[in-house]
Amino acid sequence: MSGVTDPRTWSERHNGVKMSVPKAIAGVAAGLALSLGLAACSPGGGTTGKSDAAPSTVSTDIAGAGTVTLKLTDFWGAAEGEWIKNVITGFQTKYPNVTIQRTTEDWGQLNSTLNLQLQDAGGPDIATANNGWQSLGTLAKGNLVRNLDAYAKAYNWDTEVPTTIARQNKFSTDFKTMGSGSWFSTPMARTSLIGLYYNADKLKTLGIDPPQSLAELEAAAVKAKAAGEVPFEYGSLDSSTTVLLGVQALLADKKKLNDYIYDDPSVKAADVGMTEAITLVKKWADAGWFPKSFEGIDYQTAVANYVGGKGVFRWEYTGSLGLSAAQQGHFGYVQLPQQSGSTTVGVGAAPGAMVISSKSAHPDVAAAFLDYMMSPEAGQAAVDKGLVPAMSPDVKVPATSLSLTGESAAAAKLDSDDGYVPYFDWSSPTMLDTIGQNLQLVFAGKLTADKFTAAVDKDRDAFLAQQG
Amino acid sequence: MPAPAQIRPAQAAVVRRRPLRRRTRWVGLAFAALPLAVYALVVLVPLGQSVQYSFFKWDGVSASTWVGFDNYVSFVTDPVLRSTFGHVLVLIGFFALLPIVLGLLSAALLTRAKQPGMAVYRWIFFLPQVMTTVVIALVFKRIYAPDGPLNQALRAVGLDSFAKTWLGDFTWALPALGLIGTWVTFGFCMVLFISGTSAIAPELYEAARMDGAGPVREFFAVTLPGLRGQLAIALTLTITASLRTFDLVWITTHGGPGTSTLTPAVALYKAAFQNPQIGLAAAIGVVMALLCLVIAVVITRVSERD
Amino acid sequence: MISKMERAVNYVVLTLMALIVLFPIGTFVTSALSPDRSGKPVGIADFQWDNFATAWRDAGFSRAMAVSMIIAVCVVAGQVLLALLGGYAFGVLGVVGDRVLFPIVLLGMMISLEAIIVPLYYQFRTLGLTNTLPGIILIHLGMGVPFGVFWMRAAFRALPRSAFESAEMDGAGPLRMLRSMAAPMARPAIYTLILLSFMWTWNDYFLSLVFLHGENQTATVALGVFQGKYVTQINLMAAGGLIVAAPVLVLYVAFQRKFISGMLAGAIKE
Repeated sequence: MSGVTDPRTWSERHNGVKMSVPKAIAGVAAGLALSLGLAACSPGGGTTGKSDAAPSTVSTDIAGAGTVTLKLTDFWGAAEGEWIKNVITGFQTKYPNVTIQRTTEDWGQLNSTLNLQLQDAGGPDIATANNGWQSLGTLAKGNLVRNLDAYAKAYNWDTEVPTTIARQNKFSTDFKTMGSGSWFSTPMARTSLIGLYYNADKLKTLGIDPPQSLAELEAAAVKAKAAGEVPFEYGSLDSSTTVLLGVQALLADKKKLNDYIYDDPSVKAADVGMTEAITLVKKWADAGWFPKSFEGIDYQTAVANYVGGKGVFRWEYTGSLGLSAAQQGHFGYVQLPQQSGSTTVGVGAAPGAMVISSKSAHPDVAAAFLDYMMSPEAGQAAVDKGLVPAMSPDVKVPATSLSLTGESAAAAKLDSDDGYVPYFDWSSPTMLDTIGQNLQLVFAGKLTADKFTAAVDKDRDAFLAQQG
Repeated sequence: MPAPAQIRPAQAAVVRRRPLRRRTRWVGLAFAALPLAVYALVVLVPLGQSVQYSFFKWDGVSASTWVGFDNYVSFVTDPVLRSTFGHVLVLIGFFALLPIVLGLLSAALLTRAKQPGMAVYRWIFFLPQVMTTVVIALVFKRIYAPDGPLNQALRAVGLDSFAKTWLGDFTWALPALGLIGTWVTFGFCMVLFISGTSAIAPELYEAARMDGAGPVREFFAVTLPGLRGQLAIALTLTITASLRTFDLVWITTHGGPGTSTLTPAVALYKAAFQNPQIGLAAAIGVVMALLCLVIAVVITRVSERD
Repeated sequence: MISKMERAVNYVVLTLMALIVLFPIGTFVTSALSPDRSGKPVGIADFQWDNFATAWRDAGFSRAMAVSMIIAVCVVAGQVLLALLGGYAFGVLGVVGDRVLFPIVLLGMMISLEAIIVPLYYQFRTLGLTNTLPGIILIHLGMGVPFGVFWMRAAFRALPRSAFESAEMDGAGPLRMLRSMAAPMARPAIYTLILLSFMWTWNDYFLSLVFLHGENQTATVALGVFQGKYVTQINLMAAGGLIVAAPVLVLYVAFQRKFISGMLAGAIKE
């Protein structure tokens, strides 16, 4: 940024060399023409790898695959990082001929450079992508990641993975719709939900039971506020949207919300509770239920504040608070039922979509590893690290962990209610930016709830239109 | 004042035709070949490709479509992208005008007379220039935090009502970022002006003092006119820097709240690396490069007039 | 001479400005030394110097600083070589077509990295140079050619013509003239180039962010990751920031004149 340029034009003059401006421009033009000539073909032509077709012959014989080294790049730190390390160890113990080299990167960094890394010959064999059009859809469309249908068949993923979760990893092979078609990524024996955390100690002091409905939650917030507590710990500096999406899941029609995100143009944002959700969140903000100056607090700070004892409730992705074993006894988690009835709908997905690079020389081994990531062993490894398990009904949750008990119960409830909805920002590549920016505008009183909903539609419809 | 001595080579180098030159121009090309080749590989070829990409709609991975000037049109017509120019205008106030005023003031004070300690001040004022932006961004994120030193200081002196969320405030985020730029850039302007001042003939000052000019009149009558060349350099460098602001915004606000601190370079980065619209990103890059060129040419022309 | 009054006013204004400049850095340094997670300033007796060791260990700076150092040293060496060759060619020997070539070289100082980063990545991928140290070193070198050539050209032109003439009389060829006469005489300019080149390379964030991953992370990028994780441990975060800033700061303290004059003549690159 101090990134100024240079005084060449002037220093040139100081040097006494008279370089007239037209001449300089002519030189520049010549340079441009030259480099244009060097790059005459249209971009993107040479970057696509293999065809869409899934490989016809796949092998599940990993022990017989010889010595194989796979490169894995993920965005997991802390407990999640320890979990994947243990999963890798487990897999390598099972198949001593396989070595998995793991690299971890910052989420934002990996997310913005994964498409470049996957085009690299030395890039990762396996990586964590972000579901939706922004990342996974683009990678699949560009043939950067493998179509996994043959492996899905070999490992029975279609029967073993719950449909609502399986859909999240599928795209039609013409890449016009998401949510059906071929497998391009896999989930894992873990899930990440958006739900409500509560500080159990504070609730006890305030004499409130953990809320079981939206109405009870609001009543609890009034009480907390009156007692001088901050009802919800939250910061919007970097556009955190968990509170909005968490609330939306309580208000929206489940089917319509799924359809909206999976590219059905006939459903509008107003049909999926968006206006009601943003109105409610704004009401909470105006009621002073968020921290003072929450507009100036970034996500990480808000998380740390909450874990450090500020605020009573927090809408959060499971697994993102980074609670230590001791802290897990002091924070609880609930998946509130929908406002309209008794069913539970929750935003949830695997915390990362596992993809295999089209350039990987050992897709069979990579697929076996992805399958292992969905195994009960991996689920138990998750619980051991205090993470929410999925697809692993028999895992043992330590009773001392209040939060994990709540989270696991929530996941089980969503399984039985078939109540998963995907993250809203999967609906278009720019949706995360759009809701984040407009949320800040609403908080500042610069945008009404209706206009917010309209902006959401405009973003998604523009995307669908250019999908054709 | 030894610093300006370093700049002298560049300034004093008057063209002297060397007989050597004519015969050796092909040898010269051979010497220049390696640097030119590296430069062409890293800068020119990608630059040409950027121009080419800007005429395509491309997500960076699948096949591209020729769209003519569409990317340029959407850069100019999209209200959010267009607003980045307005932000740049505000930033120019903080990255260019304010640092130049402060640079002139500090240079005038530092060169007014030989007083002890001036080198220390110069050292301090220039210090922000050598710090990496990542660290500067961290420093100021902390300063501007809701419970950070700035708000604490305001509250301590009873100005509670002025305490803000700074980087999270639609009105204040851009000026708050701008002030970081002022903080970083003014030392640079100062050093530039000090070296310019030292090249002004002392007789001019003596004459002014004979006429009974005070420090203020002396500054406007002698120093300022003598610094015209430096002012042109400072303006070009700082204005183009405002146009290109990236790291600072990216690390502190990501362009928010809303899009109130979005700059062209941040929009470019988002288009290139977050929402795969490589063509649009390239178009923004090309427009930025052209604007920089135009700004440089215009300022040169104006400063050369009369 | 100026009056006592004026002198006093000068000092007051300058001191005030200096305090404003130092205030942000000061709060950062005191945060780095604070035993308190929130970075609350404490007295000298309570300074917690361990913060630096803790930050160093937790952020994995051993590796990142080594990577940054390798890159910076290689870039500085290559940069000086390219600048000597190019500056000597354009400044002393003359180059065929320099009326077109030289403006094209200077154009490079106007191009912001963002404008070329995407095609640059694809091109380097084809060459198999992404996420490699030679790759990023090459990019730094290419981006640095315009300033380096511009800078050394000016320095060579300032040398007295008689020196070249007498060397020529002695029958020195162009290469020997550069090696044994021009380069040694331009030593001050070379020193400045070394410092600036080191600083620009070390302080780079964007290139490393895009081109280097995993084990190849540089100190600035590692700091970015570190600050995300330690956002509430402001004392450690500040300590990490100072560690990353330290090499350049040390050079700045030692060679402030060359830094300031170099920045001036070359302005700031990226």
